[in-house]
Amino acid sequence: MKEKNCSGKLLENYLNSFSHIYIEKEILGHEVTEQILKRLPKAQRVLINNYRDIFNRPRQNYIIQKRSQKLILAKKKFDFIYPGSGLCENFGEEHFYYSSSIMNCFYECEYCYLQGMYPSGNIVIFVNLEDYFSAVDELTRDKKIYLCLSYESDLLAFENLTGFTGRWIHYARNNANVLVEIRTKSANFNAVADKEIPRNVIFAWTLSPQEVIQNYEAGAPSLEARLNSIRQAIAKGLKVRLSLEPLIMIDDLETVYKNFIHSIFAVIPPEGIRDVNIGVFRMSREHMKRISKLKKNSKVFAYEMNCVDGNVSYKQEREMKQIVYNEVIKYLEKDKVY
Amino acid sequence: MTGDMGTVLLSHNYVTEEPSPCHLSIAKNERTTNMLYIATALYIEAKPVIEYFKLKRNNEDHYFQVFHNDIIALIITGVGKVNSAIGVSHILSQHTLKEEDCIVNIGICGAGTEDAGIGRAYLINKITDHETGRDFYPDVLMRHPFEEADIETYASPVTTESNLSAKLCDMESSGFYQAASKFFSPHQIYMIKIVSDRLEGERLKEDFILELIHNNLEAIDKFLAVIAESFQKEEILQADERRMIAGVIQGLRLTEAQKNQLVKACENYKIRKDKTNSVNVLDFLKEYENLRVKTKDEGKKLFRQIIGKLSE
Ligand code: SF4
Repeated sequence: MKEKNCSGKLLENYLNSFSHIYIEKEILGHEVTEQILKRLPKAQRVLINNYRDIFNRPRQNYIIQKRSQKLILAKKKFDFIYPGSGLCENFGEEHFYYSSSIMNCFYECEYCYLQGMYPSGNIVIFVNLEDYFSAVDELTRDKKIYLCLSYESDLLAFENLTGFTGRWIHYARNNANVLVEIRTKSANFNAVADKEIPRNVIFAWTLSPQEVIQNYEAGAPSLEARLNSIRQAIAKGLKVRLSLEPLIMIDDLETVYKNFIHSIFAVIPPEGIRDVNIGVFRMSREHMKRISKLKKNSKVFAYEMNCVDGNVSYKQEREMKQIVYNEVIKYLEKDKVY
Repeated sequence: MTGDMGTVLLSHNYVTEEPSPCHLSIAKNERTTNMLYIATALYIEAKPVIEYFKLKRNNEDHYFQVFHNDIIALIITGVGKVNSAIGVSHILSQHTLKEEDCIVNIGICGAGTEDAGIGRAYLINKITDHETGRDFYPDVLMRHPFEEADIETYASPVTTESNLSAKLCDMESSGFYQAASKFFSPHQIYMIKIVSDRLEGERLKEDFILELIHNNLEAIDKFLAVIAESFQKEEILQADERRMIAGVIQGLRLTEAQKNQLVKACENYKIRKDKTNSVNVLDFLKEYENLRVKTKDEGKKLFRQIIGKLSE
């Protein structure tokens, strides 16, 4: 079970995550709803009219709620696809969009930007994926788009519950105008390994040194488990993206990160890698203020930070990126490294 | 409570047993001074609670009957959602509230369905206000010994189950929740409702209500002990570390800004260095603790030295 940021004795007081499922009355009977309920037969069910009545309640405590996250099953009514923001890496694609069929995540990364973004730590699953597909149909009628599916959650981590990744793979097979990216920290490739995955589906794994995972990514799979999943994907013929982001300040930074890069390329063949992006932890100052208020003992902000143009990052941002970049290009052509 | 409680017979022949030491005070004594607020509609619902926790009447409150000890403040709000909301606002606005405090509504309720047995205690996970149709959801994060149910709050006594949309019904919950949520987060608000009737419209005897509450008190006590300890904040700096830092601040004659910078730097240093919480990483401050500088400049120099060490 995942470790959480609360002392062990008190944690025992909390109900397991998904102890409760709040279900919009409108989607009772929807096949995804039924499937999720079947997987969680012991969960307490509470019927609701609109997910906002529970997700948007005032004064919720995100951090405390994460200790016993609830599921909210809802129907998305509009805004299925959003145009991408300037801060996202768009890999040279012209029309960049993102979409979130799940809000929030059950991993608990210290640096997760969702914690200052959503009013609630609970997880919303919009069950009507078919309406997302229609929206993408519409959008791609006359243009190609690049669509990130896993920015506000970790879609693949939920696969056993929702089956959404598998359905997006199926959708992408029939729509050549969409290039989808599924970003994950999970070790769950197995859940879609039997699918025929077309070239317009990119799997992107976010990797960190095991030392960082242990200290900053509570609940997320180990580096080894993620690497195994990546190997499985490559063995199936996929070219995966590696996202070395966010680089996190840690004692013995240089050694830790050099060993980390080495351990990746010791098991992953470079020809299985589509590209690598490297980014040091950064966040807007406003967002950082919100998170530090929620989490007074945040490890991320215990280091000296610099603020440039309203964004904060470590003082040593450049050096950190350089160390990792120099190491990666020992194994991979420069034009594959962003 | 559900029915026409104004007519409940107030008898005084209810005998309480000597209560065993309660879980709540044990849990609280081990910890800090957060408060637990309890609201009941009627005195008769509160009486077993008052006796169990040995609460004393607060004679200075001229508006409501309030009972308390060091860790609990209980208010009897009167019947109905408006009274409940007024009572809750009254008690909560009189205290300096903490993030670790909680409020609990304890009372009896009606049930439309057969499967909600008389005497059974429920933890409420959804409230519907019958008149406005609005729904409210307290967080249910803690393990608890109760069954859970939704409740519908009516402005007047319910005597028929014909239009009941929830499993339970009462006259206070929506008012209680709305008022409490002006002060507290959803995880700080709880409602424990004990089924007293099936809406037959009969008057409930006082002894019967006392018994219903009394029979559930031990489970309620255990649960209150859990919520009283579960939201404690974990302080970064321990008391002895704070004392040491206060000594440094005084001895070096630091300004307000320097003081804030020092505390923040100590916290950050501890978060970075003290991974196991077993070593006292701030021990090096001891050599500064009892220094007494003569000039501000001298203080400034030492302050820079300390900040330098804390930035490592
Ligand atoms: S995996 Fe991503 S979305 Fe999930 S907690 Fe970590 S940073 Fe947040």
